[in-house]
Amino acid sequence: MDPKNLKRRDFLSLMGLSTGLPLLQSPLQVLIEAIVLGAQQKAMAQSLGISPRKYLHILQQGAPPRWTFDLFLTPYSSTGFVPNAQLGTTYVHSSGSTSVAYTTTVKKNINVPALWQFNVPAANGGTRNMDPLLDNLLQLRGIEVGNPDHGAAQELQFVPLGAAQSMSALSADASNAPIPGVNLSLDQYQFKSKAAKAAITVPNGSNMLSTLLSPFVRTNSSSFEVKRKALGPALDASIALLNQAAEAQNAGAASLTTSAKAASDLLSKGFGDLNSIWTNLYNKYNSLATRSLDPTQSLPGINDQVITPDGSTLFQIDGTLITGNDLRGMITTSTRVSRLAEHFAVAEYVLLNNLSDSISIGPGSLSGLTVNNSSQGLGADEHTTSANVSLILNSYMNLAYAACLLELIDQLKAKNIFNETVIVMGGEFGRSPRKDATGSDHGYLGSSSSIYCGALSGPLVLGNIYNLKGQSDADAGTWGRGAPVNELGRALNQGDWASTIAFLLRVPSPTTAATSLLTSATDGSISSLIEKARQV
Amino acid sequence: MKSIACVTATGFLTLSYNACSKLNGFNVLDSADTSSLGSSIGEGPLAANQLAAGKDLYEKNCALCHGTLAVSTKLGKSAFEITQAIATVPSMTSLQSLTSEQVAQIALALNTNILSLRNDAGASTRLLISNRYLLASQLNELFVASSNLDSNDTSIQTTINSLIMNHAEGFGGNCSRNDPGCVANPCANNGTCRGKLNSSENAEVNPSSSPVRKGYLIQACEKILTIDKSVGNLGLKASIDITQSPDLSTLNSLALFVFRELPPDSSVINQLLTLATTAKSGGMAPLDQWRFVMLALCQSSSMDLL
Repeated sequence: MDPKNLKRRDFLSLMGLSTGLPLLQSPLQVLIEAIVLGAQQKAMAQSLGISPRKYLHILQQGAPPRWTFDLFLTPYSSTGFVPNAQLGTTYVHSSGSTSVAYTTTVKKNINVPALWQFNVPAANGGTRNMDPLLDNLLQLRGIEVGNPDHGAAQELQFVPLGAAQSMSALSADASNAPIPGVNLSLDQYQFKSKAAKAAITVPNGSNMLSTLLSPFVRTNSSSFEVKRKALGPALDASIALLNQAAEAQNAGAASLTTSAKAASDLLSKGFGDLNSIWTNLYNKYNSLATRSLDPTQSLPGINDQVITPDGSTLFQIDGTLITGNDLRGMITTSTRVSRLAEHFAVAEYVLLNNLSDSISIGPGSLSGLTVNNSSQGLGADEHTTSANVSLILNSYMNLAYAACLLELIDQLKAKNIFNETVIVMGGEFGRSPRKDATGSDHGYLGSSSSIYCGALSGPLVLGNIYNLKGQSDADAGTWGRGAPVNELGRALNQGDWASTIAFLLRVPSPTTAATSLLTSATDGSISSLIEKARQV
Repeated sequence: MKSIACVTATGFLTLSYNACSKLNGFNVLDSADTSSLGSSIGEGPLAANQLAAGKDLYEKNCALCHGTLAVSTKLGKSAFEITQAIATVPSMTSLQSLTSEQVAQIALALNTNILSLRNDAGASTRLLISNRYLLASQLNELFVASSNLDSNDTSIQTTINSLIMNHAEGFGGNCSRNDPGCVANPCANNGTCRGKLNSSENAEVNPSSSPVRKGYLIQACEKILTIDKSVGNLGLKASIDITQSPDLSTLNSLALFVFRELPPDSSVINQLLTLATTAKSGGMAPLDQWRFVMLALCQSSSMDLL
């Protein structure tokens, strides 16, 4: 048989190559995989008429405690609140000892943690209050997460209750943005798409934008480029006709034509000087974070008095007993929030430039702390970080997060897309504080999530919690353990969370286990279908 | 539409694309096998053969434990997963006599139903496109010399590796934790597998149409064809004299060679001639005229399609 006259697929059977290595498949296996997995569906937007909101997921891996910042324990009433010695928002200094207490301030007519009284740095060099975050906040609390294990719980953030479609693919599947999904190196990131799309993972590095955009940045020699551009129209016409012929053979090839056009447009347009773009964005967020961590700023109730360790486990960080005279010395000008500036820089660029409608980022915890005269970080998973240490460190850290969030939201507003963006922030579970004030454990029966969207009129807190019930004997008190909601007859679960987010994204829920907690009226206003948050 | 290179593995991280003699040592399919048998998945005669074989093998070897094919508890399993199960599940070790081709046929049968289920989600067409393995081997077959590779050929292979093979997120194709095509485990994050792969696990990434895919392919074609030797290699394989300007006949030969199953459309050939003529009147030599004709073919959707 003349090889030239053999049909292509016959080659595959003829070669029958099998290497024995699972990753180097025989041609038949390759063919099968392509047949099985190459199914490409028309964008759901076309078939279902969906126009999704953008999705930014901020997952703080390790699950830091949230009660100093965006977990509101007594938003509408503090009746029946039961303190827990690990859980505090301000220090209590009495002669010879330090402890913490849960104190709140009133903002936007609700009780929020004391931290909200402080200003944070603004991008223009001044400061600002944190109130605008409340204007568009929906907080879900008392969420029962099925699993106490970090990895498994993080997976549930992406694929709750074994859903067939991941949270990260909800908007992506209905979107025409050039990059279906972006993952900034979240360990357990999942992208289960119903439209056979795939996401890009960008590793942490020196210019994450360049890495992300590398499919769309030409690096040809100038001599080649001169010729290519000279032939532009004729080349385009040839490719167009070839694509038409391909579509005649397989109607699904229309999606290839669409993808090629999008890629070609980006390749032609270019992005400008990505190095300086990156530098400017990074510097902006890094400056906000660094200024938020300024140890000299005045934070009454947090850093206005000496915090003297006593050598016991009441003053430990990740199990290390702290020595010295003053815990406030842990925060120095070298202190940073890992990955915060980088990930917010990428998020801003991706969202503002319509590169993707789904981006998941994983900024971290504090690094560069001075502990016992050496440098170390704070692990988010604060099993053995005592109340006295956790309070000051998380207060500073959350100021940095708040500053960056406010700036990002400002940028979205300026571009008129905050109404079209849903930001979801939290850890894989909450934390259950130990009554002995030595640390906190995995609060998988009381997780919380903060959701910001311009279309939301906030603040709105949903989800009931117990005043006294712990997750174990160690942690009784009001910390966020989920309690039944009247309309549901049970505490919130991740099905409620996922369906509510899907509702806000304007896409079908990935799970049938629960429905949205929100509904919208004919005038577009969004309201809750369940009672406001209570402590029971 | 594309000729497929022989991919010889010399190691996981470095594939050497040695062109091999396509008919040596293989059983040539009887011509009856290439007749159109119709196909339950609508893709050509060979696939229909394989599917029938797979269904038969499944019913004989698997149905007793896992249910008949239509309601199998193993729908959607990949050839890799089946191989692993045979190797590790005690009651399945007798199946080790199955060849890898037979396992692949069973996998085809297990996945064909899944395919139609996916389509029920609202789409109307199926698109079969190459994953990174297929695409890389196609580009290798077209642009790398058949023998006596020199440094230019190595450069072409390097381009194929860096822009195609290393991008499972753009092109799909299964991969593992240590695969250079997976940066920070994106293979673990796509497709149907769970979060983190351990060192022996495999992930399956969907080949899909996306601007990311096309961006890399567009760039790969340009980078490859920047190298003069690529033009010469393809010309040689297509029996074309690239020192002469393209004409209708030689363009026809090229298109027929590159896209075997797609009879060249005369309007396409005419347009390619226009492209070549434009290059020529712009002062470009035949080498460049051919270069950009080949670029058009490379960057078209036909290069993606199965």
